[in-house]
Amino acid sequence: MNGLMLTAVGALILIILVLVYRIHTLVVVMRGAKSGDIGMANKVNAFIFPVFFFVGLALFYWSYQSAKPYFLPEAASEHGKITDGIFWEVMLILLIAFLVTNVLLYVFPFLYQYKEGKKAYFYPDNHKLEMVWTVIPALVMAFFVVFGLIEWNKIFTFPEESKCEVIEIMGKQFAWQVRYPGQDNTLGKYKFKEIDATNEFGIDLTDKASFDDFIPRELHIPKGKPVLLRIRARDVLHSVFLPHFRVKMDAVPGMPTKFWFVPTKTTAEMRAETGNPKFNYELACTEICGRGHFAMRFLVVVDDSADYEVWKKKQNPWVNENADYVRTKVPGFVAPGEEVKTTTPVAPVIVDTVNVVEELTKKGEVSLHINFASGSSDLTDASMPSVKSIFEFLTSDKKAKIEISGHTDNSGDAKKNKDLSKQRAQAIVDALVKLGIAKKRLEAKGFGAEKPVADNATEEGKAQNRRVEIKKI
Amino acid sequence: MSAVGTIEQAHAHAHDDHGHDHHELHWIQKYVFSEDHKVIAKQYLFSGIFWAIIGGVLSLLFRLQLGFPDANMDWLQPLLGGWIKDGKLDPEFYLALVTMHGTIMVFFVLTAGLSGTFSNFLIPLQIGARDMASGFLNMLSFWFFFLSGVLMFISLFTSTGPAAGGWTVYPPLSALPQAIQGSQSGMTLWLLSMALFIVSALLGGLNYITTVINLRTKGMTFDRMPLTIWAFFITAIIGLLSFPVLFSGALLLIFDRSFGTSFFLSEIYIGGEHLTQMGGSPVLFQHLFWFLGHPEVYIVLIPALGITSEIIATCSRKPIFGYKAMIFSIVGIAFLSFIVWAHHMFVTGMNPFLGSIFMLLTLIIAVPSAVKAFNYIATIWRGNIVFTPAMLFSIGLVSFFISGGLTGIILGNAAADIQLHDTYFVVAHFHIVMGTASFFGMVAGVYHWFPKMFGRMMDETLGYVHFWLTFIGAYCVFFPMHYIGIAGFPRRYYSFTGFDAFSSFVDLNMFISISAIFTVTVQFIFLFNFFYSIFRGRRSPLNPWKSNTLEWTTPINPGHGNWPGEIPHVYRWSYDYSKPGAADDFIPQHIPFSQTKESNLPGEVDKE
Ligand code: HEM
Ligand SMILES: [Cu+2]
Ligand SMILES: [Cu+2]
Repeated sequence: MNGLMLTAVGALILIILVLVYRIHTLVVVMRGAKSGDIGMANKVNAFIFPVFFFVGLALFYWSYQSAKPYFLPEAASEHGKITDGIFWEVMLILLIAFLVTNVLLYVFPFLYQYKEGKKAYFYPDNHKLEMVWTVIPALVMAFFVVFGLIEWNKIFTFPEESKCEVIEIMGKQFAWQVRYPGQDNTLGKYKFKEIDATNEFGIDLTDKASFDDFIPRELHIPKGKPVLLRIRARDVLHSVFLPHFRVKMDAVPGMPTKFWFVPTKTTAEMRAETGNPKFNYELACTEICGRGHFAMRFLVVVDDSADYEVWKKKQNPWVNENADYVRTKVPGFVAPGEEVKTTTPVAPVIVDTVNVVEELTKKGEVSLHINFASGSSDLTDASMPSVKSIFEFLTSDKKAKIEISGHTDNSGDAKKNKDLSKQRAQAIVDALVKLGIAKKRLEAKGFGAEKPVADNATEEGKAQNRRVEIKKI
Repeated sequence: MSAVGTIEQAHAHAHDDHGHDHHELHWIQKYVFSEDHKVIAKQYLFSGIFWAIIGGVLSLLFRLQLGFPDANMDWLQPLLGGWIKDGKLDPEFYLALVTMHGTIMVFFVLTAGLSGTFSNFLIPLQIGARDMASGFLNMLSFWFFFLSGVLMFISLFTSTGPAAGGWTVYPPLSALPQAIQGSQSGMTLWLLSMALFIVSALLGGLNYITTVINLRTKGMTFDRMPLTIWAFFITAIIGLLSFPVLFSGALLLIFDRSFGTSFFLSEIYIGGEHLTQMGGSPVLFQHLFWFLGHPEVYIVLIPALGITSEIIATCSRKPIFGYKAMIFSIVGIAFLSFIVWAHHMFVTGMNPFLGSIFMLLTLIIAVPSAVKAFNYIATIWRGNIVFTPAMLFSIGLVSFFISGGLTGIILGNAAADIQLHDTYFVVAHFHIVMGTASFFGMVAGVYHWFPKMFGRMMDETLGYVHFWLTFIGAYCVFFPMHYIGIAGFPRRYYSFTGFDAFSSFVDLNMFISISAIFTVTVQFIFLFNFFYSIFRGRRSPLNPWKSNTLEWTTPINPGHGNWPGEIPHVYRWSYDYSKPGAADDFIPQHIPFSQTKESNLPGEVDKE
């Protein structure tokens, strides 16, 4: 920071000095002394051009050498080696063009600077020369095109799916999730409509192939085997970027895409090669997707095929980890090893039917039974409509400020209840802020069980008391 | 020489007589709602400078974040208010800054500020016309641009921030207010502003085209037109064909945002909700956007190339090498620019076969571009070069055009682009070839035609200092970005520390930011020189650069109608510099061959 300030101040002082000097000379000029002649300045400028170039070239070389250690390690995929090859070979050929044209561009100004009494060479065209420098670039380009296209087409010729590890990868704001096909090697179908807070992929539970699919927290891939990524997005565009494998493909909502590659180095091998015991492959997002675009990191691990199979065996299918959820879709579902619970009493849930906007506009307050995951302050999907309706009110009345207060029933510890009710009110505030409401219009309070509106002796009454009150202030 | 002198004097004289029967215009008509192309050109220039300052300052704000990620930014609170929290820049506002910076630079500075200024100023003056074909439409064009700027400016101050989805505004991000705050009112303003901007560009373009076709003075055939005019002419045609496509894209996006249509939206689950819009395609928008977006980069570049062609020939005291080839290459680039757009979309999931086609077409564009670079170099070869500030900036442009053009060939290689797409390598490439090159062309134009605009000269020494500091600074800013891109750093990242792979180059990023601050700061030398010289500069002679084109036959401060007397006729092309046998090293376009017997080439006779 200091360095920055110093530079800025330094530059400013320099400029002020220059300006003062110039104002002085300009005044002299204004008084009549005119210097229209081409003199010293022309020579100086002519001289700086080649100097700039050769010093620049030296810096180019030096900076390249110092930057090189920080470039990505050699590609860890088969096609990556080839695309890197194309990159550096094309670069080399272009470097020649760069040097030739630049030497001329920077040396000519020096050689052909203005000289008193000299006349420039009247040379309007030369068709042969022009032909030469049209045809040569054309040939070079043709060469690039042919070789580039051969590789491009190879990369986009997909191997048979049965020969690949097929992995689904889904981008959302702001995280990646991956799904493996499990034992049957078939990814279960998904349906957009099935997506919800638990079933993030929208796994279709009427498809039996889904039942062994698993959703791990890291992307594991085997060395030496083609990996086919089935890529999709759930909300906005994202882009799958595996820098070490030279893989990139957009994730598009509504339009699944795919990319395949063959990893060639395990994580362990890469750690040895880079001499960095902490080395990890990473997955990043390269399509702007919002606030957390820069933070969509996902860990990637390349195993050798034995380790990979072991790892796969250890994974627990998604349905088993979410048996309760699955039961709501597939009645009677039992995960292996799960104790079948007999009808746990379900607490009554009150569904709000009031018109929030109307109520708030007319009475200035409303009481809602917004759902939270039990014991936590995470809003559930079922509660989103209520939050939306508050949002609607706040956008319909741009000036309104509201107080959101959380209330609980009397079961459990009073202090905890109070904290929880405050956190829940705050969660609603946060959700509204995320929707774009200014923070200063919202106030969160928590009362725990201090202000019951019904009798806590009955389950019905308790349900009435677990509520959120919205008040205009 | 004597012939030139007498004609100029005759004109100056005629002007005096003429002055009396000119009815006086109200000052509002003269300086505000003016229909005079020269005034409109200056209006564009001043607006362009205003926007360049804003665009530059925005880039410094996000460069601070990138170069000094740990710094406390509380001192910016007075300027940015709530966007600084706990000493940190808000990540969404970072994206908003990048988006506004890109939009402003591309459209407001380098389209309106560059093309608007010089097409307006030079077309009538260089083809020998009294004004544009329609002064009224020309005025409308400026005021649409002005309004568009007002909306964009207001959007900077909305409570949810300006548009933040990148200058390419890809939906769904730009379509969904719940996806990012910038997609609320900021995005609405962005779309309205761009719609007005497009109207302005179309009105302007129509005018440039009709003027060039219809109002050329006697003898100004197409094959005698200065390359500046060719460049503006072709640019206007590109704009006319491509801007409407962006307009349609913007319109459909407005529908998706406000009227529940689903052109670009499908299967979206966001904020715990399933959107009802189904069946649209985000990739469709990308096609529509880049159908303008790619030609747009030539819309900003070609005028700059035209300007430098003129300046390099004049200051080398030589005809431009390969005049015809220069025209063909502009036309070729313009044509090809319409059929390469999908090289921005190699990895969007577009059919890979399309990728092959677009790679082929993209690399073809390198050929006419290379021809231009070689022709520039051949023009300075064996010249008698006078380094005016304009000439320095023109050589600078050629340098950037080569450096940035070469990396374009790498990016056009679809297979290599898989890794490079949306990394800093791209940022480096387009800043050099389009940003800096066009910017240099614009500055060169200002230095060169300042005497014609304001009747005074800019200070040359300040110009030299400005050039060298900017030239060095710009390379220091953008050259190292190649390295960062090769290391895989993605663009539009608020911070890189979250990834092991992108945690290097901390010092280099700091260096870039310091260079950027330096480069932007030295532009104040130019600003000072510019404004000071408007009022206090040395008085300009009639033809300060000893140039051949017609604008230098007008009085020093041309009035409405440009030439007080008759419009001069044209007898030759504009590049008769250092013609063998001629007494002087230049023969202006309005000198008939009959007066230059000593230097005429075979076949050069006046055809009446
Ligand atoms: C001092 C001058 C400039 C600096 C330091 C600068 C710096 C940058 C940087 C670092 C980015 C990438 C930010 C990111 O991806 O997070 C960027 C984006 C961009 N810049 Fe500049 N730039 C400058 C001038 C220009 C000029 C003259 C143009 C005109 C073409 C321009 C056009 C753009 C565009 C179109 C983008 C992309 C915006 C986007 O990603 O949506 N910049 N600039
Ligand atoms: Cu993302
Ligand atoms: Cu393009």
